[in-house]
Amino acid sequence: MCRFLLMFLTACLAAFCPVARAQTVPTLLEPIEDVVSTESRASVTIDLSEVFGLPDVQGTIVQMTTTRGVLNIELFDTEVPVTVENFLSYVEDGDFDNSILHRRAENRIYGGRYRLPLTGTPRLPREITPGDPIPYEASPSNEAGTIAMDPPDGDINGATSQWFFNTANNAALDGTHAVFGRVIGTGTSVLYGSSGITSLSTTSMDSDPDKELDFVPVVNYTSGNAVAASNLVRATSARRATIHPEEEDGVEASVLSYSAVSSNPSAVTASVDGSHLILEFPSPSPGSATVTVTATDSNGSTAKNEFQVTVVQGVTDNDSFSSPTNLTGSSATATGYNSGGSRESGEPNHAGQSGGASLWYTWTAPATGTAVVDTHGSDFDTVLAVYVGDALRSLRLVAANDNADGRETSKVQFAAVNGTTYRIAVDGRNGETGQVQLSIKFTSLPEAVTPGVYHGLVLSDNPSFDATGTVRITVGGGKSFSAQVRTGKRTYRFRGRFDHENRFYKRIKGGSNPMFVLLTAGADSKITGSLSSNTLAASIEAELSSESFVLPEAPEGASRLTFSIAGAQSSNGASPTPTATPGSPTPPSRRPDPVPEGNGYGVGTLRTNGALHLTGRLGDNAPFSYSSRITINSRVPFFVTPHRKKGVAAGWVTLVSGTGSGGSGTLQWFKKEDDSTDNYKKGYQVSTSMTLSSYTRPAPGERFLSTPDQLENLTFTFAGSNLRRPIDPIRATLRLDNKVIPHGRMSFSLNQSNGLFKGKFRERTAFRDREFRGVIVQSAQEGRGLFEARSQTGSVVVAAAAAGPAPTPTPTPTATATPTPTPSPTTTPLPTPVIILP
Amino acid sequence: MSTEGSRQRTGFLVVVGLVGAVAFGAIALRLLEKPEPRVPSKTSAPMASATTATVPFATDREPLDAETMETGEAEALVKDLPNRARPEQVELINHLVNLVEDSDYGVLKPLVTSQKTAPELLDVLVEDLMNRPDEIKLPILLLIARQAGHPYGMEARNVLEVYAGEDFGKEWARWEKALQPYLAAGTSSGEQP
Repeated sequence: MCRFLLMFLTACLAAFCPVARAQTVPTLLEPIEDVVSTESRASVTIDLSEVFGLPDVQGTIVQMTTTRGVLNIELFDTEVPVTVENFLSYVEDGDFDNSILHRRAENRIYGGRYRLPLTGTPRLPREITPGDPIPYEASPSNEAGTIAMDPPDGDINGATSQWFFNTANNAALDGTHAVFGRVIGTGTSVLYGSSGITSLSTTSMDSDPDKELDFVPVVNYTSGNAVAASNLVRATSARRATIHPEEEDGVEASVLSYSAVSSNPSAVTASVDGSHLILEFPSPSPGSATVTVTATDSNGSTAKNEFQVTVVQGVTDNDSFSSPTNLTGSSATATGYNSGGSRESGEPNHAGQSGGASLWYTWTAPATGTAVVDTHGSDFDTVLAVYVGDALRSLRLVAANDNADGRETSKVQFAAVNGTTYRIAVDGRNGETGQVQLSIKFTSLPEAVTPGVYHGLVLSDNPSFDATGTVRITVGGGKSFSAQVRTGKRTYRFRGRFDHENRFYKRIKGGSNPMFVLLTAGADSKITGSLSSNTLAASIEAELSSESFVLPEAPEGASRLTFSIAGAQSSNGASPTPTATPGSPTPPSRRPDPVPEGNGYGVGTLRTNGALHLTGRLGDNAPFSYSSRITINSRVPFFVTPHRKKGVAAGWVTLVSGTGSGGSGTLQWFKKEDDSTDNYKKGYQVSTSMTLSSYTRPAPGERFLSTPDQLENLTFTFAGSNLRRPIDPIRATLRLDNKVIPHGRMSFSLNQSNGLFKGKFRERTAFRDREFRGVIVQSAQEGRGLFEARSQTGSVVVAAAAAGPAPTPTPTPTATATPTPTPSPTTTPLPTPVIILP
Repeated sequence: MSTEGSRQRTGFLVVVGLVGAVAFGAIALRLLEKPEPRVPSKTSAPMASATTATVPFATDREPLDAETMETGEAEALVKDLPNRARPEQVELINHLVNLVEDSDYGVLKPLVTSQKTAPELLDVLVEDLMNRPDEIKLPILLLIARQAGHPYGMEARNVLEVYAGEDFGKEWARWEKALQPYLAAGTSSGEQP
């Protein structure tokens, strides 16, 4: 019933709506997109059965070719399967070949009963041998254009081979004459219409009414003559057909046929093979063409599709192994076409696949690392191989691949060695050709961590006890290491292993708060990183230790050193710059808390293996010892934590190798508030400078300080501290035997072996002696040190002086409790004992 | 046997094989390496890269599965020191001074005070000692200073003089008395309050 309704609607639409009628005529289903190709591609093939079709045709098709035209009959397989099967049995037996449409009457054209013999005279119609009769099947209505069985009168179940076309609606036959198909396209014009069979005259060929040869349609027949075969309307053949050519094996006929035309055959040729359009590119030059494809049915109805084909330039000049395309850098890409590519003599099968159209590239690794070569983006099935070697016959395979990542393109990854040139072959599997997209991505491996001992500092922009320190890292063979990080607050000791990127990141033990350390070993023999927690962030910088550091004199395998650390009142170099005390707010506008004014001093040794040992006192008189190794950059990380770890001094000191002049550096120096210490209970934070000097014991007849006027004059200058009254500079005479004769209340002794000195001076209003200590800094031709007075320190500087009055001491500009000193030209000299230590 | 079981068995055999190979290599290394005589050398040779690159950190053979070093492990490594080649000794000492806690310094004390300790090792030990807390450092430096021929006698005397404020020569009782203020527990070590 559904089919019946559909046919009814289709018939109605066919009569009044051309669009509906088009559903059984050639129709463009999916237009062909414009094609961009290369001349390197041999051809492009497009399946036209996906482009054109007969959308409303679903059933089996029988193509009946008549002397009046072609009738494509769609059979109603689903609705009347027995009837269709019966009809097809006659078709397949060839019974309807050369049969005649033997009767036209009552809005019907009959056939399927008589055929003409192919030979013999006279060629009289002979009845087709009927098969078994078939029962009537309920069917769609007998509408115009349909085909129905014609059973004997009175026996609806007696139909065999005879059928008829309805040339008009014959609903009166419904229920007795089973409709089993319809004529599709414009084939009904063969039956009826202005030139249809219905327009022909008829004649009688026999008086036997049973033979129904009394209304035989004839063509070009002259009444009264014998009816010749040429006067009859014949079905020369009836065959199963498909919509598209070569759609089904064994079925040769088709409703549609295809043709194609190129507007520019020199650039693009278009041909059709069955249902396939083939585009070819005969010219090596770029070009374009408009290709028109036409689908035509057996009745001459057509559908067209027009599209553009563009041929672009191809690159095949790297076909030869000896003329590859050179790629460079850590990231490189190349585009080419392997049409015209060839297989050279001696060329191996790449990735084990037969190719035949290879392109060659070269790439030199910029460092040692991992290289990834990929043909992703190529538009054909590639194979890829990477080799080393200079000749085709002696290539050594490095890596090869056919398909990668679920695609037909290829990808390899291999360990690339710095400076090695790799030869890359891209081929098409089984000789396929197309556009090659080649990419190289290279990632260099971190250099191996240089084994050795690294010394460095932990520093922060906001100095604090737990964010200032030193680091010592021992890297063994491989990437394992041990480390100690000593901060002003605690020492962290840990060990681990650098990862493949030469990094180490881990929470380390040693504190109540989570502390994380990051270390990264660089190629420059440095280890950098950070020490961090939720409250601090400090940077780590360490350098590989030097294995030797040469000073001019190292008779015992070590050179003696002395050093000074500038105090606030010192005359030697930069003065300490007070800053905010750690953990304390900026003081209000009152007299600032005092900072150490004494000169830190000390002695040390520098061994030829680069080991530096220092011991001395900071400017606040706190003792310390420290040892480290000089780094390959001639630097030493300096870090001490005196005052029961409530003070810190840290900074890089740069040494001058080979000249004996020592070195210098800037230190962060701070102490927190602590009532238990003798000096500076409120703490301080300053930036100061450190000076190192080689020290050589004076030779006999040589003074420990040079006196330019040869008058042997020395001046001892005392400044700063919390003295009741300032001390005037004290003159002294330095004899050639290095004995010092003071011209005031003072004693002085020098340990000539290491440069340390000490002495006493008289505080005038207190009537008591105060000790001072220091060291000779030969590179500065000064003695520098400190003295203590009332919880503060002051500086002492010993220097050669010209003859004449003693110099005026420099007024103290910084915040100390000391009033401005009153210059005093002389005091009563009180000779004091002089001690010269051997 | 199931596939999984077979896989486990295969993995076990591989591990056994590797362990065996490593053990054999270690034994062979011991047999081939004759420990160098512990004669002090005038030329110190801290961790030459040419040797350390081929001598793995001792704990590569004894895997680093702990961040810090327990007393027993440190003692065992020090005890095993004579059985190692000199470059390996230097490397091991450089690790030990990083990892031995102040509380375990007694493990290293015999090495740093002995004049028989190889100079390459002594360099590292003294460098470390100088940075230890006063209560550890000063008594040991006093022991070193009292030895006439200790290679680091000069450095020891320098430190002691700076701390004591005087050079007491061979008056050791006076040295000890002068250093007493710095030897009280917690004077310069321990955690910040």
